[in-house]
Amino acid sequence: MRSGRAAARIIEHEVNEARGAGVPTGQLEVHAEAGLAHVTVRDGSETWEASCPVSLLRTALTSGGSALSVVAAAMLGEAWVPGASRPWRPTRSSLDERLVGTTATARDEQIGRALTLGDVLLIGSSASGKTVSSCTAASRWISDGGAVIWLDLIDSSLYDQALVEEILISISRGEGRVLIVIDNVQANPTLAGSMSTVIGRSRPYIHGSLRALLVGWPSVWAMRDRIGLKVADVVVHGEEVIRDLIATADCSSEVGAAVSHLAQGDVLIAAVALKYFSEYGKVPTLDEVSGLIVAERPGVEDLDHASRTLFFWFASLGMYEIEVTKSYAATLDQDAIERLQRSRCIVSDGDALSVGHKSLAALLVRYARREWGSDVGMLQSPGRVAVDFLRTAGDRQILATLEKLDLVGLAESGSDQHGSAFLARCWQSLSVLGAYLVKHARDDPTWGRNLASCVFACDALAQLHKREEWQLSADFVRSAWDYGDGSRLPRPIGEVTAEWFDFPEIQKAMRAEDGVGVSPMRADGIDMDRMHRTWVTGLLLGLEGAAPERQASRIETLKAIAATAQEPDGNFYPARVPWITARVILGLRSAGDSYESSDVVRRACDWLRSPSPGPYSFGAWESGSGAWNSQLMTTAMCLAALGQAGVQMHEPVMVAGAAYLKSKRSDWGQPGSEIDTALVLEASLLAGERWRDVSADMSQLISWARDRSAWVETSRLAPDAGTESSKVAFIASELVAIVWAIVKRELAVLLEGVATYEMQTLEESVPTLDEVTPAARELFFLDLERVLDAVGMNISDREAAANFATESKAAAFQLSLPEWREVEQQARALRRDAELAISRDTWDEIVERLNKLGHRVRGPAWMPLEPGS
Amino acid sequence: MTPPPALLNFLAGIFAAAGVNLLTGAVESSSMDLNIRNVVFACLPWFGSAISLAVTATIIDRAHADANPLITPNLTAAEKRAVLGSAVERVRGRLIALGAATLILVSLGTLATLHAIPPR
Repeated sequence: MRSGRAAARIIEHEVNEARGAGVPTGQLEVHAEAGLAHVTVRDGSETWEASCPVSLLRTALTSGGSALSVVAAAMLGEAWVPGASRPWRPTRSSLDERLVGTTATARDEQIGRALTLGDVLLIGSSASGKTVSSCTAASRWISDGGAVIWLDLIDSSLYDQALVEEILISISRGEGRVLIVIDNVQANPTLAGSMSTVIGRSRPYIHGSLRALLVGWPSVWAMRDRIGLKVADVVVHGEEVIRDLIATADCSSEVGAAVSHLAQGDVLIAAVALKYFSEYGKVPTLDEVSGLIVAERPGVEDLDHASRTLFFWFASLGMYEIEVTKSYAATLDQDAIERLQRSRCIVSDGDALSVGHKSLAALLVRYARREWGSDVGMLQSPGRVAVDFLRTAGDRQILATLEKLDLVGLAESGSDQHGSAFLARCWQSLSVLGAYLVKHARDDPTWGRNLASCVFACDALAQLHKREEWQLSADFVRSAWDYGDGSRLPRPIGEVTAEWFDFPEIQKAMRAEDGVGVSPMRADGIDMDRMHRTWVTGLLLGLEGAAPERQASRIETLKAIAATAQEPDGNFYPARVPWITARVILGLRSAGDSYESSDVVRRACDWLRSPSPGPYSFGAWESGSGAWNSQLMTTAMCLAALGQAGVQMHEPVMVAGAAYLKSKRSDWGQPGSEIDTALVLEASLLAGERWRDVSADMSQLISWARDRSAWVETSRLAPDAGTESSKVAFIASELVAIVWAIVKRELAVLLEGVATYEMQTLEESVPTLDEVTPAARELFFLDLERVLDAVGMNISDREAAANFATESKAAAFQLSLPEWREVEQQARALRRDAELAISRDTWDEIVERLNKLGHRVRGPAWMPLEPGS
Repeated sequence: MTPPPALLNFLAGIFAAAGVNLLTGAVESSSMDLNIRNVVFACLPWFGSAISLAVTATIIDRAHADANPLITPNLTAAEKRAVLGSAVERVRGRLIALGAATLILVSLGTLATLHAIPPR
């Protein structure tokens, strides 16, 4: 471990590096005392002091962090995260580039005024123009001499520490007015909350004003109390922006109203509709809007079959904001992709290809279905396309997509007809657990020098693609245990790791069991060191097998160890404790071996499922470790190990095991037996149980894992805790695996839930007090169409009769026919007026006209519409 | 104003029955004064008038059938009458001719009957 003086020298070097890069970092002083590094930053008259563990300081420095980031981490009491994203520091010109073609609205003025008074929460649905408003506010802030820090929470490698670093830079630069824009709050409300805390704490250090502009979807509204800042709420209605667009366009109020009605709050549709009107002199339909958008892209109409199919595919993915990585796109038809890029149907954004905004994608899907539906069989729903793609694209793409979706809103929505809200809540919990694991890995990557906790946490972190945190804990494991050359069991380097202290407790429980004479293998005759190291072999196999970058040599060494350690009958020492064998099987499975491919796994599985003298007995497995592990837990673990290894679930042993778990349903979820519950859930789902049937147990377990109190004493040893020392990490790992598996399997339900929720949100947000509801419109037009039909029939009947009539009788029609034609004109005029009418007053008058017309056409059969309906 | 086809068919039946009655009466009569040839000639105008009336009824029926599809509930009563009137007007010539033929035949039949069966 480096001394405080050495750390200070390194920091001084870092400071000089930072100065060389043009970052004024002030003066840093560091001294170490009792394991803590005291960091002092001086910049002019400003001085900040903070302390952090020297080990953390060392980690940050050796990982290449800047001095400021170390200070930032120290000030927050957080560890430095290698490879974390930096916030965006926009310039005015870069913001103005984004604002080309947009118009300042009254709402922008409102935001500007609100920001002079305090922090602002800007919420609005997709395509409501909130990003444009944010950019406008930021641009104005810069033009008034301020600085802007922009954080987009969709970026999963962004941490609150990055914000502190930027604030420190602002302070050291003497920036008096700082605006922090936190975009897409719905993507990570937890991080938004902690960033708000940072902003609150940093405010006294900024001489002028430090303001926050939080931007998010309507679901953020419900959780604004959790953000921790007193914010002025500015609700973005796309209609407001559309009104401003209409006001600046050269069109009548009736046309403007028709455009507003067509757009339903979508600014993109409104802008295109106005453009259409200026070109063709009429308000377009949605089909015409999509047609105009496509018309602006050269050569789309001439695309061949393959390109059209790909066009629809990209547009469908775009509806869920899914971007296709270029590496994935390389597996597609390159000619078709080139044609689509040439016609600007898909655009390149960094390392990804997409059609653009989701509103645009929806219009393109509409166009493709209408124009080419029969040609390329585009009857598949966009949701289905998205699910199929995500399943083939891999976990990282699923993660990226789900992070962008409004799952927070769905999770907190009241209805849950198909379980999508439950899945969204599970996903949120996964994010929370992930955040806990990341925090723990940063605070103490050794988990109190507990190898088992490290391995379980690494398993979860690997599934969540948190590579940096995985590396921190994996480094500890690899440095604390010697894998050897494959000829002997692994052994600890230096002191034993903390999970070892579970084993004396296990031996005590075994002795107690010896008293009732369950096993011929006596507890005192068992070599606990060998048992521990065999178990660790299974854990290490799990760690190396799930590593983001697998190292073949380590895995081969561990496999050789397992092969050597296996007893002639297939068990792993000791035969009395079957969960040791199950752990090694799980480890080997993680390392890529299975019942079919590996002799070691097959012999272990065959032993595990063999009745006496094997461990299996009437559908269950005894733990062999007394009361330390329950029969339920052992059965679940053995069943999971066998199932994952590839033993068919319909084999009698597996069926009996699953039946046993079901028969013990009342024991699931008992307080204190969370490990049992986690394993039972895993095994039950593997055995074909439906997740909906175990959702209550899952919710209970998730609640337990989300409770911070469970995470406080994760480094307690087994003798003190009275339970497994790795319990928290194990349950977090199991939950991550279970939820992740369910979410991947039920992507369709989740995406459909999001789409339905967004639709509901949109519908709820559209009606306003002075506008006509869609239902009233629908009723009106239905009745008007009936009137028009009746008029049309009257005219056609008379025309036919008049043609038949002889000259002397034709006089009977000479008056009536023109009258009916006049009525038809009136009805058509009424329809045109109704399409344009949007205000309540105009609407009432139109309803009156329809009632008169209806009475004239249909007589007493006419049921008048209520003007106020 | 056109007579209803049913009335015309009824009259056609009467006239046909008159012809048949003449024939059967002559065959069953034992009077040597009856000239069977005259009786047969007297029957023919009755049969002719019956056919004429039946054809008239058929023509009127067809005219109505042509007009019916055009008469919908949307039309007023006057318009319906106009459509029907137009249909009849189209066959007016044939109706007049047939009417005249019927009158002539009935007259001939009456005269021939009186000639074949003189009053006692």
